[in-house]
Amino acid sequence: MESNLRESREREGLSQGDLGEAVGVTRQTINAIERGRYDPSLELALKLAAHFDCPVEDLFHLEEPP
Amino acid sequence: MTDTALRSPEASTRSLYAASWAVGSVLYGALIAAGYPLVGVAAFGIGAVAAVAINRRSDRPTFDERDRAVFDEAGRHTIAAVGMTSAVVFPTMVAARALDLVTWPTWFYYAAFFVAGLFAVWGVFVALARYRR
Repeated sequence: MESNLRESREREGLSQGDLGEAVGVTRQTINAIERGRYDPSLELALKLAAHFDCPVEDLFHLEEPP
Repeated sequence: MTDTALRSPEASTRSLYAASWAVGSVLYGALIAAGYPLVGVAAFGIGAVAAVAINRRSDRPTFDERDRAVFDEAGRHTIAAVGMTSAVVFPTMVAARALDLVTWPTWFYYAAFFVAGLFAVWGVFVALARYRR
Protein backbone atom coordinates (compact mmCIF):
# COMPACT_ATOMS: atom_id res chain seq x y z
CA MET A 1 0.00 0.00 0.00
CA GLU A 2 1.25 3.50 -0.78
CA SER A 3 0.45 6.61 1.17
CA ASN A 4 0.45 10.35 0.75
CA LEU A 5 0.58 10.83 4.48
CA ARG A 6 3.86 12.70 4.53
CA GLU A 7 2.65 15.24 1.97
CA SER A 8 -0.61 15.79 3.86
CA ARG A 9 1.18 16.14 7.17
CA GLU A 10 3.78 18.52 5.85
CA ARG A 11 1.12 20.60 4.14
CA GLU A 12 -0.38 21.23 7.58
CA GLY A 13 2.99 21.90 9.16
CA LEU A 14 2.66 19.03 11.60
CA SER A 15 5.48 16.98 13.01
CA GLN A 16 5.18 13.22 13.09
CA GLY A 17 4.84 13.44 16.85
CA ASP A 18 2.03 16.00 16.58
CA LEU A 19 0.12 13.82 14.14
CA GLY A 20 0.72 10.70 16.18
CA GLU A 21 -0.59 12.39 19.29
CA ALA A 22 -3.64 13.65 17.40
CA VAL A 23 -4.64 10.16 16.29
CA GLY A 24 -3.40 8.25 19.34
CA VAL A 25 -0.31 6.48 18.04
CA THR A 26 3.42 6.94 18.44
CA ARG A 27 5.70 9.07 16.27
CA GLN A 28 7.41 5.86 15.21
CA THR A 29 4.17 4.51 13.80
CA ILE A 30 3.59 7.64 11.71
CA ASN A 31 7.17 7.39 10.50
CA ALA A 32 6.74 3.71 9.60
CA ILE A 33 3.55 4.44 7.65
CA GLU A 34 5.19 7.26 5.74
CA ARG A 35 8.14 5.08 4.86
CA GLY A 36 5.86 2.28 3.65
CA ARG A 37 7.05 -0.10 6.33
CA TYR A 38 3.74 -0.44 8.11
CA ASP A 39 0.19 -0.56 6.79
CA PRO A 40 -2.15 1.08 9.28
CA SER A 41 -5.26 -0.63 10.56
CA LEU A 42 -8.56 0.40 9.02
CA GLU A 43 -9.36 2.26 12.23
CA LEU A 44 -6.15 4.26 12.12
CA ALA A 45 -6.52 4.97 8.40
CA LEU A 46 -10.01 6.32 9.05
CA LYS A 47 -8.75 8.42 11.97
CA LEU A 48 -6.03 9.89 9.77
CA ALA A 49 -8.53 10.61 7.00
CA ALA A 50 -10.84 12.26 9.52
CA HIS A 51 -7.94 14.32 10.86
CA PHE A 52 -7.12 15.64 7.40
CA ASP A 53 -10.81 15.87 6.49
CA CYS A 54 -10.38 13.89 3.32
CA PRO A 55 -11.43 10.50 1.95
CA VAL A 56 -9.18 7.67 3.06
CA GLU A 57 -8.32 7.04 -0.61
CA ASP A 58 -6.61 10.42 -0.69
CA LEU A 59 -4.16 9.20 1.92
CA PHE A 60 -3.79 5.54 1.03
CA HIS A 61 -4.03 3.58 -2.19
CA LEU A 62 -3.01 0.19 -3.46
CA GLU A 63 0.30 -0.06 -5.26
CA GLU A 64 0.07 -0.27 -9.03
CA PRO A 65 0.88 -3.80 -10.20
CA PRO A 66 4.24 -3.96 -12.02
CA MET B 1 9.26 18.23 8.54
CA THR B 2 10.36 17.27 11.98
CA ASP B 3 10.78 13.54 11.72
CA THR B 4 14.29 13.91 13.05
CA ALA B 5 13.51 13.84 16.77
CA LEU B 6 15.82 11.24 18.21
CA ARG B 7 13.86 10.21 21.29
CA SER B 8 10.14 10.71 21.50
CA PRO B 9 8.44 10.58 24.93
CA GLU B 10 6.79 7.26 24.13
CA ALA B 11 10.12 5.79 22.99
CA SER B 12 11.68 6.80 26.30
CA THR B 13 8.73 5.29 28.16
CA ARG B 14 9.09 2.07 26.19
CA SER B 15 12.81 1.95 26.96
CA LEU B 16 12.16 2.47 30.67
CA TYR B 17 9.39 -0.14 30.58
CA ALA B 18 11.64 -2.71 28.89
CA ALA B 19 14.57 -1.83 31.17
CA SER B 20 12.43 -2.41 34.26
CA TRP B 21 11.46 -5.88 33.09
CA ALA B 22 15.03 -6.64 32.00
CA VAL B 23 16.69 -5.49 35.22
CA GLY B 24 14.11 -7.31 37.34
CA SER B 25 14.54 -10.50 35.33
CA VAL B 26 18.34 -10.42 35.37
CA LEU B 27 18.37 -9.79 39.13
CA TYR B 28 15.83 -12.57 39.55
CA GLY B 29 18.08 -15.10 37.84
CA ALA B 30 21.30 -13.80 39.36
CA LEU B 31 19.97 -13.76 42.92
CA ILE B 32 18.49 -17.24 42.61
CA ALA B 33 21.82 -18.49 41.28
CA ALA B 34 23.58 -16.73 44.15
CA GLY B 35 21.41 -18.53 46.68
CA TYR B 36 18.95 -15.74 47.51
CA PRO B 37 15.73 -16.93 45.88
CA LEU B 38 13.35 -14.81 47.94
CA VAL B 39 15.38 -11.66 47.30
CA GLY B 40 15.33 -12.61 43.62
CA VAL B 41 11.57 -12.92 43.63
CA ALA B 42 11.32 -9.54 45.39
CA ALA B 43 13.59 -7.94 42.78
CA PHE B 44 11.50 -9.40 39.97
CA GLY B 45 8.34 -8.13 41.64
CA ILE B 46 9.80 -4.64 42.02
CA GLY B 47 10.80 -4.64 38.35
CA ALA B 48 7.33 -5.75 37.32
CA VAL B 49 5.58 -3.14 39.49
CA ALA B 50 7.93 -0.45 38.18
CA ALA B 51 7.15 -1.43 34.59
CA VAL B 52 3.41 -1.32 35.17
CA ALA B 53 3.73 2.02 36.97
CA ILE B 54 5.78 3.50 34.12
CA ASN B 55 3.17 2.35 31.64
CA ARG B 56 0.27 3.76 33.66
CA ARG B 57 1.86 7.08 34.51
CA SER B 58 2.65 7.88 30.89
CA ASP B 59 0.26 10.44 29.40
CA ARG B 60 0.70 8.90 25.96
CA PRO B 61 0.07 5.32 24.90
CA THR B 62 3.26 3.35 25.51
CA PHE B 63 2.37 0.78 22.89
CA ASP B 64 0.14 1.28 19.89
CA GLU B 65 -1.22 -0.84 17.06
CA ARG B 66 2.15 -1.09 15.32
CA ASP B 67 3.73 -2.42 18.50
CA ARG B 68 0.93 -4.98 18.76
CA ALA B 69 1.51 -5.95 15.12
CA VAL B 70 5.22 -6.37 15.89
CA PHE B 71 4.45 -8.52 18.95
CA ASP B 72 1.95 -10.57 16.93
CA GLU B 73 4.53 -11.19 14.21
CA ALA B 74 7.18 -12.14 16.77
CA GLY B 75 4.69 -14.50 18.42
CA ARG B 76 3.82 -16.12 15.09
CA HIS B 77 7.49 -16.67 14.29
CA THR B 78 8.16 -18.03 17.77
CA ILE B 79 5.32 -20.54 17.68
CA ALA B 80 6.29 -21.56 14.14
CA ALA B 81 9.93 -22.03 15.10
CA VAL B 82 9.07 -24.06 18.19
CA GLY B 83 6.53 -26.09 16.21
CA MET B 84 8.82 -26.88 13.31
CA THR B 85 11.74 -27.70 15.58
CA SER B 86 9.56 -29.93 17.75
CA ALA B 87 8.10 -31.69 14.72
CA VAL B 88 11.61 -32.76 13.76
CA VAL B 89 13.37 -33.20 17.10
CA PHE B 90 10.83 -35.08 19.18
CA PRO B 91 9.77 -37.76 16.65
CA THR B 92 13.44 -38.27 15.80
CA MET B 93 14.31 -38.71 19.46
CA VAL B 94 11.34 -41.07 20.03
CA ALA B 95 12.45 -43.21 17.11
CA ALA B 96 16.07 -43.12 18.24
CA ARG B 97 15.06 -44.21 21.73
CA ALA B 98 12.84 -46.98 20.36
CA LEU B 99 15.84 -48.27 18.45
CA ASP B 100 17.98 -48.04 21.60
CA LEU B 101 20.21 -45.51 19.94
CA VAL B 102 19.83 -42.89 22.66
CA THR B 103 18.53 -42.52 26.18
CA TRP B 104 16.48 -39.48 27.03
CA PRO B 105 17.89 -37.21 29.68
CA THR B 106 15.34 -36.18 32.30
CA TRP B 107 15.17 -32.60 31.08
CA PHE B 108 14.06 -33.87 27.68
CA TYR B 109 10.86 -35.25 29.19
CA TYR B 110 10.15 -31.86 30.74
CA ALA B 111 10.86 -30.15 27.43
CA ALA B 112 8.47 -32.51 25.61
CA PHE B 113 5.70 -31.88 28.10
CA PHE B 114 6.34 -28.15 28.01
CA VAL B 115 6.02 -28.09 24.21
CA ALA B 116 2.88 -30.21 24.34
CA GLY B 117 1.41 -27.86 26.94
CA LEU B 118 2.42 -24.81 24.94
CA PHE B 119 0.61 -26.04 21.84
CA ALA B 120 -2.41 -27.08 23.90
CA VAL B 121 -2.67 -23.51 25.18
CA TRP B 122 -2.13 -22.19 21.66
CA GLY B 123 -4.89 -24.45 20.37
CA VAL B 124 -7.28 -23.18 23.02
CA PHE B 125 -6.58 -19.58 22.05
CA VAL B 126 -6.99 -20.38 18.35
CA ALA B 127 -10.36 -21.97 19.09
CA LEU B 128 -11.41 -18.98 21.21
CA ALA B 129 -10.35 -16.53 18.51
CA ARG B 130 -12.29 -18.46 15.86
CA TYR B 131 -15.34 -18.56 18.09
CA ARG B 132 -15.22 -14.79 18.62
CA ARG B 133 -14.92 -14.10 14.87
